[in-house]
Amino acid sequence: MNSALESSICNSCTFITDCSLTENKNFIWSCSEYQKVSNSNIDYDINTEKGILGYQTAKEIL
Amino acid sequence: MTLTKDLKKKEQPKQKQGMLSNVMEQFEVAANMVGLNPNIKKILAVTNNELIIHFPVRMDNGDVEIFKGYRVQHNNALGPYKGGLRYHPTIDIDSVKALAMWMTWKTSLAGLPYGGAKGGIQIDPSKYSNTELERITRRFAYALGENIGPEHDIPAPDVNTNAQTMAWIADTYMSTKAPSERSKNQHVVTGKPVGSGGLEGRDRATGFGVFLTIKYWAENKNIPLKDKKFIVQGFGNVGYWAAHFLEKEGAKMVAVQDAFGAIQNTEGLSVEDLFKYTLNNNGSILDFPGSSSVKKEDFFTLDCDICIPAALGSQITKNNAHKIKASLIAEGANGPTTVEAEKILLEKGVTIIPDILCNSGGVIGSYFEWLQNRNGEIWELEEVLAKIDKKIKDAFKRVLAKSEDKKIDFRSAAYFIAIERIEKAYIQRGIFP
Repeated sequence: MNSALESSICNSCTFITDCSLTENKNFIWSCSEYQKVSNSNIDYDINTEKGILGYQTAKEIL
Repeated sequence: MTLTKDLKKKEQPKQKQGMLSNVMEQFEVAANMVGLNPNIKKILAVTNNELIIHFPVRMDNGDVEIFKGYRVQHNNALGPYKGGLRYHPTIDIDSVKALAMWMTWKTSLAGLPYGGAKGGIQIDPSKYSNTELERITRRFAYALGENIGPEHDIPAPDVNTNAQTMAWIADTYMSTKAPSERSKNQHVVTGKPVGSGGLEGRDRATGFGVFLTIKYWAENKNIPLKDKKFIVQGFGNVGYWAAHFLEKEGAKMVAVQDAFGAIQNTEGLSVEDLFKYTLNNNGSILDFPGSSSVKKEDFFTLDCDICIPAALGSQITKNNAHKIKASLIAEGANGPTTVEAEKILLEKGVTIIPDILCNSGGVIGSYFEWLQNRNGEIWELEEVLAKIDKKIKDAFKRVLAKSEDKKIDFRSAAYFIAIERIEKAYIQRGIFP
């Protein structure tokens, strides 16, 4: 993995290989489509029961 | 000289510089544009506090792992530090410093009584169980100790953290206090679950803010939003809610792009129907009935009046800027327009509502959650949205007025106001001793 990608949130996103939004994954530090590869329930949004879109993980809300 | 022109002039190979250099360069240009007092510039060019914590946590298998956590407090001239906590393997001190500095400008522009901060843990949360994540979060909160606090530094959710994470932090922090003091420390974090002091409507605050900035731009131009065509990149919390509120005003969503692909219908796509469709389609917008697919390189060139990049940075570039047909770009995402693209767009007469104004609804929502807890109140959704509306309207009007007064673009005006407000606070208070 190159250093630029290592500095991008893309490197732990489930869409890393086939994301429609960007081919250049360098230094992406914020993305509303970001979804980590999940095996835990930290992505469970207790604010909205299923999360705003049900399937999605923590969103950048600041 | 506007921010864009000056940044363009100083353009360097940014990807090799990293985030901190970019933010510092942006500050340098903005400070010069404002004519910032040189002494105050020295203060704002550095962070107030940088905390790096190594802390141990026992894993489910009995082993102990050491984690690295960060909290950077950039500036608190206007009030307590405010900013998110992210869990990600790539975070380092420089990226946290950059994000903290950016929060200072954002809270200042929004007219909030806050400074800027950021933090997080260098961790890939997908590699840990939920019980491990809870212990990691609680141990980090304990290690932060009095470096955070409801009147000192107020974290919020960010990448890979959410309402649950904030509930753990609040509970841990409150547990360190005497029983009689606990309940008055609930606002140590924002973004909590609604049942634990969270704010009704916090989920839609950012997207609602995006919509409001578009609405106030249209009102100022005497342009009705009814039947205006918009495209939105990103159908998450920001893009979906912005589209939701625009549709209620009669505007038509004609194209959407998410991580799976892009779709369009020149007659309009129902925002709510698409939302329901994604819930049963693994989150994807693709193959939505009545839509046709769009090549990703064509998305921003589609015919529309309003373009809302609400996903990620560097999407509107010199390669597609000249093909953009929208007359307004509302930056729901952080940094979606490159410096080169912005120059092209401004020359074409396209208005850009800059990210630090456009997506500030989220931090404004955080402020109201904090205020609600602080006052011991529970606000209803309509009340919350009305309060966010007022704040966004005020911020938009200030940016508009500064833009007209100084004859500068909206982004330059936004930075102007943000930095000027902090400068004013320092001038009034002076420097101790």
